[in-house]
Amino acid sequence: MGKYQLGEFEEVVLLTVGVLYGNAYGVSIKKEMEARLDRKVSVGALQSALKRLEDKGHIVAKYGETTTERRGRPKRYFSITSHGKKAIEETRAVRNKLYGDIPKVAFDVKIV
Amino acid sequence: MLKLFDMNNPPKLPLRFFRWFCHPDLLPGIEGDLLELFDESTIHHGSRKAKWKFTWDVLKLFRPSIIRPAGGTHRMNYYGLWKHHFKMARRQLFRNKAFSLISILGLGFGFAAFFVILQYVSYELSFDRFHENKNEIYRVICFPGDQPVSAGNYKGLVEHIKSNFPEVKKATQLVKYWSMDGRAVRIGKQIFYEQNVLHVSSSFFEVFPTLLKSGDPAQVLSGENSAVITEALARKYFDNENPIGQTIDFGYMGKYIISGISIDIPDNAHFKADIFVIDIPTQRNAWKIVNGIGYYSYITLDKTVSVPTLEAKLIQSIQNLKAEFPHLADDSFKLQSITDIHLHSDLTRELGSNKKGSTIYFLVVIGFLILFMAWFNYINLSTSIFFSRVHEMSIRKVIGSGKSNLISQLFSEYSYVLILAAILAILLIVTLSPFLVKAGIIPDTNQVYRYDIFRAGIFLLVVGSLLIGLYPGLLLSKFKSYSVPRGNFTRTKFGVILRSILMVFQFMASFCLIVGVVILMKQLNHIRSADRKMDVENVIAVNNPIGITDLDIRPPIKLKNYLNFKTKMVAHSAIENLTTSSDLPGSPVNVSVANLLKVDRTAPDDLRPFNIMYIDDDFFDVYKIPLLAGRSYSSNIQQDLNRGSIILSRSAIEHLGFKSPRDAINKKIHSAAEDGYHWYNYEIVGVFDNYLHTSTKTKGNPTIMLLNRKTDDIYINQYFSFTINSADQRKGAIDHLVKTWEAVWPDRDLEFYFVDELYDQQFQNEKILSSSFIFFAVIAIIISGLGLLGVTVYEIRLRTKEISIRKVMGSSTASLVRLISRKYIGLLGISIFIATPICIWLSNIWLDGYLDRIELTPLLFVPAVVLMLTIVLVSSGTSIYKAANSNPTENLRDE
Repeated sequence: MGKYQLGEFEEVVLLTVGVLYGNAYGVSIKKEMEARLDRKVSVGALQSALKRLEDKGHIVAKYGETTTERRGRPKRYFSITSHGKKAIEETRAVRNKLYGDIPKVAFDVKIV
Repeated sequence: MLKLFDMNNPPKLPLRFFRWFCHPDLLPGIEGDLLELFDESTIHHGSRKAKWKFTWDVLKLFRPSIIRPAGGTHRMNYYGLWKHHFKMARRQLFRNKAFSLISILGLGFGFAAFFVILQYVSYELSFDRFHENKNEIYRVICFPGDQPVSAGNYKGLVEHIKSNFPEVKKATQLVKYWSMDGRAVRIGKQIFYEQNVLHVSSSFFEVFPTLLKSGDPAQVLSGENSAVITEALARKYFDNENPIGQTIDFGYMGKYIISGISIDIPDNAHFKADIFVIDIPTQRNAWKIVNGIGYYSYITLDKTVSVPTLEAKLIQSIQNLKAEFPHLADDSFKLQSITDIHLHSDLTRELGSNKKGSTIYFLVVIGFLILFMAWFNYINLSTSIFFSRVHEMSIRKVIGSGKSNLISQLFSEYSYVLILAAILAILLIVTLSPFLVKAGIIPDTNQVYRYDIFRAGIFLLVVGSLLIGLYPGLLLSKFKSYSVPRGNFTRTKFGVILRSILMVFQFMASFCLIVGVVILMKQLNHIRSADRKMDVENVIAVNNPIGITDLDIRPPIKLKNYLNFKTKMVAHSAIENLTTSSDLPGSPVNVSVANLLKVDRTAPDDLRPFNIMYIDDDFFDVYKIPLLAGRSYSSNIQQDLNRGSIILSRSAIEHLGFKSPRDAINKKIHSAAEDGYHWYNYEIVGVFDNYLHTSTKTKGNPTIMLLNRKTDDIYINQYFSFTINSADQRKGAIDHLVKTWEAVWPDRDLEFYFVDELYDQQFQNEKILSSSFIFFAVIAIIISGLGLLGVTVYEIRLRTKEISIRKVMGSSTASLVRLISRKYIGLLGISIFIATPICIWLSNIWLDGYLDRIELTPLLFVPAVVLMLTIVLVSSGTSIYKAANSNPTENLRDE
C-alpha cells in the first residue's frame, strides 16, 4: 500500500473522477460528490486535493474547448491514469482484505 | 444571449486577489469553476449571497497547493541557481581582474576611512554625556566687558546664585590651582605627585551624582576636611585596604580625610580629576579674580526652567551689585550646557583641551565625502563595463532570465567584491590604527563612545553598500535585449551623464581635500613662524629642584645654591647665559591680576588683566627679547632688589596711557595691595617689545616682569633656562648640565625641556588636524584616481576599434591621447570651477577661528590644480597611451 497512499478525501475525489468519466471537471466533481456523499465540498478543498492527485500522478488534467457558458473560461477535465487506477485497486484490495479478516463475532451486537 | 446583459458580476477585489495568487496553470479552470458556481448561486440564492459565497470560496482557495510559487512559475527553491550565480561571480571576479581590484580597493579604503572618522567623531561627540543628569547641568560663564573670557570666574557667583535664584536646584564651584607637574601628596610615609586635584564646594556631588561611586552625594563632602578620591587612586594608595577614613596630607594646605570614592573620570569628560577636596570659600574677594585663579561655577536646572530668562535675571541681579563693585557693571553671564563645553567653548583657562566643533563637522563631511566617493566609484566602474556584459546579459534574457534573476546574479557578484572590501577595510584599520592613535586621529581605546551615532553610521554604511550593489543590476536588467546588436546601449545619454556627474563629484571632493590640506599647512606654518620677537631655538629649561608644589613639604633652595649652579653652568664654553623665570614661553602665564595697576591712584579701577612673570637679570638676554627703552634688572641696584622698579611690555604702557616707551621710563606707577588699602609704588625702568609668549592663537595680555628675589634665603623661580651657542653643541651642554646638577643637587631628579619643542606643543591640535586631513586626502585621491583609471580602461576598450581606425588613418599617439583625455580634463575643469567657491567658503569659516589668519590667494589653489591634473593625465593617459600604441591589425582583425 506504501506506494499509493491516498487520503480519505483524495480517494473519494479520485473515485468521483472515475465515475464522471469524460465529464470530470471542478463543478461536476463537486456536485457529484455533494449528491452522493451528502456533504458540502468547498472549491478550495476540492482543487487542492485535485492538485495533489495530479502531482502524485493519479490523474491528468486537460483544458477543454472554450464555451460561452462559463463566461468564456475553459473547463479543466480530469481523467484517471493507469497509475491512479492501480492506486484505487490497491486501496480497495487492502480494504477488502481488512474487512475479510474481521472475525464474525466482532459484528454481533451485544446488549449488555 | 439576452442573459448576458443582466448577468450579475462577481465581486472585483476577490477576483483580482484570486488571479494574483493562483498558480497560472490552474487559473483558467478554477476561475471558470468559480464563475459557474457563482452564476448558479445567483439564480438560486440571489446576488448578495452569491457574492459572499464567491469571496468565501476564493479565501478557501488560498492554500499552498493553489498559490503560485514565489518568483518563478516552476520551482520553489533556487539553491541550484544561487550556486550557479556564485560560481559565475567567482569567475567574473577573476576575469575582470582590474575591475575587481579597483572596486575592492576603492570600497575598502572608503570603508576604512569612514569607520575611522565615525569612531573619532563618536568619541568627540560623547563628551560629558555620561552624566545621568547631563541635560540639567550648566556651567555659568562670565563675559567681563571686552576682556578675554576665562572659563573660570568669580568666587562669589555660586553663593549669589544659590541665595537669589530658587529655580536653581543645586550649584557648586570648583577651582584648580594651576601648576605644571602636580601637587605633592603624602600618604603615610610615601610621597606622590598628583596632577588633578580639584577643590570643590560641598554640593559638588549633588550636581555631578554620576561621578560618585560610594557615598551619599549630599553628605560625602559635608565635613570640614573631607576628600573624595577615584577608584584607581584608592587602589594605588591603599591596595585592598578600605580607603574610607584614611588621611591625605597636602603639607601646608592641610590634612584631609577620605570620605568617599568616585568613579575614574572617563576620558570623555571636560575636566580630569583624581582627588576632590572640599574647599569652603570665604567670601573675601568674592567679586575679584585674585592671582588669575577663577572659580568654575556649575548649576543644575529643571528642564522646565527657561535658560535665556535665567541668564537675563542673573545679569540684572549682578548689575544691582555695581554700587559696591563697580567693575561688575559691564559683566554679562551665559549658561553653557555641560554637553556643549567640549566642542563649543573656546575660552581661556578651560579645564581640558577643548576641540573646535567646526573641525568635527568638517571631519563628518569628509567621512561622507569619502564614503560616497567609494560608492560612486563602484557605480561608475560597473556602469562603464556594461558593454562587456551586455552580450552575456542579452543571451541570459533570451534564454529566459527574469529581471530578478539578473539582479540577483549581479548582486552575488557584488557580494564578493563587498566581502573582500570589508576584509580589506578591517585589515587596513587594524594595521593603521596604531599610527592613527599616535597621530591623535582616533582615540586610544577599544571602547565605543556614543553607540547611537556609531550604530547609525554602521547602519548607513551597510544599507548604502547593499543598495549600491542593486543599482548595476537594475540598470542592466532594464535594457532591451534587441538594442544590443544595434550597439547603442553603452552610449545612452543617461549613462554618460550619470557617469560624468559622479566623476565631477569625485574630482570636486579630492580637489577640496587637497586645497584643505594646503590651507591647513599654510596656516599652521603661518602661526608657527609668526615673528615672536624672541628666540626659543637652542634654549633648554630646567625645573627648579624644589618646585612650587614641593614647597608644600620641603624648604626652597637658597640663592647661593642657585648662584653656585649658575657659575658652574656658564663655565662651559657652549653655554652662553642662564636665567630664571616663573613661566616658560609656550605655556600660559600662571599669574595674572586685574585692576591693580594705575598711574593715578585716584583713577577708577581698570578691568584689564595683566600677566605677571617673575624673572631675573638675564631673562631678556637669554630669550633675546628686545628692550625698546630703559634697561633690564640688575642685582647691583638696590632699588631693583627692593621691588622699587618695574619692567613692562609695550602693550602695557600703551594701555596705561604713555605715548612712547621712552616717555614711560622713570615714571611712577602704583598697584593696590590685596587688602585694598596699601599701595606698592614702582618706577618704570624698562619697556620690552610685545613678544609672543604663547602663539597668536590666543590673545595676549599686557605683561609685567618683576624681579624675583624676595630675600637672599629663598629662590623659588620655577624654571632655569639657558642658551646654547649652536645646535650641535647640545649634547655637550646637556652632559655638562647632568654633571653640574649631580654636583649641586645630588638628591633631586633632573627634569629639563627643550623650549622650542615646548613652544611647538601649542600647535598640537593643528598638527593632528593636518595629519588627519592628509591621511583622508590621500585616501580620497587614491579612490578617485582608481575610479578614473577603471573608467578610462573600459572606455578605451569600448573605443579600441575607433582608435585603431584613427591610427590607420594616420593619427599620432599624442593626438589620440589628447583626443580622449580632453573629456576628462574638461570634467576636471568643471569640477574645479564648482569646487573653488565651496573651498573658499569653507576655509574662510575655519580660518576665521584664528586671531591671526592667512588670506586666501589664488596661489593656494595651484598645488591642488596641478596635482589633480597630474592624476587625471596619468590615470587616463596610461591606458590611452597603451591603446594608441597597440597594433591596429590586432584590434581590427575580428571584423
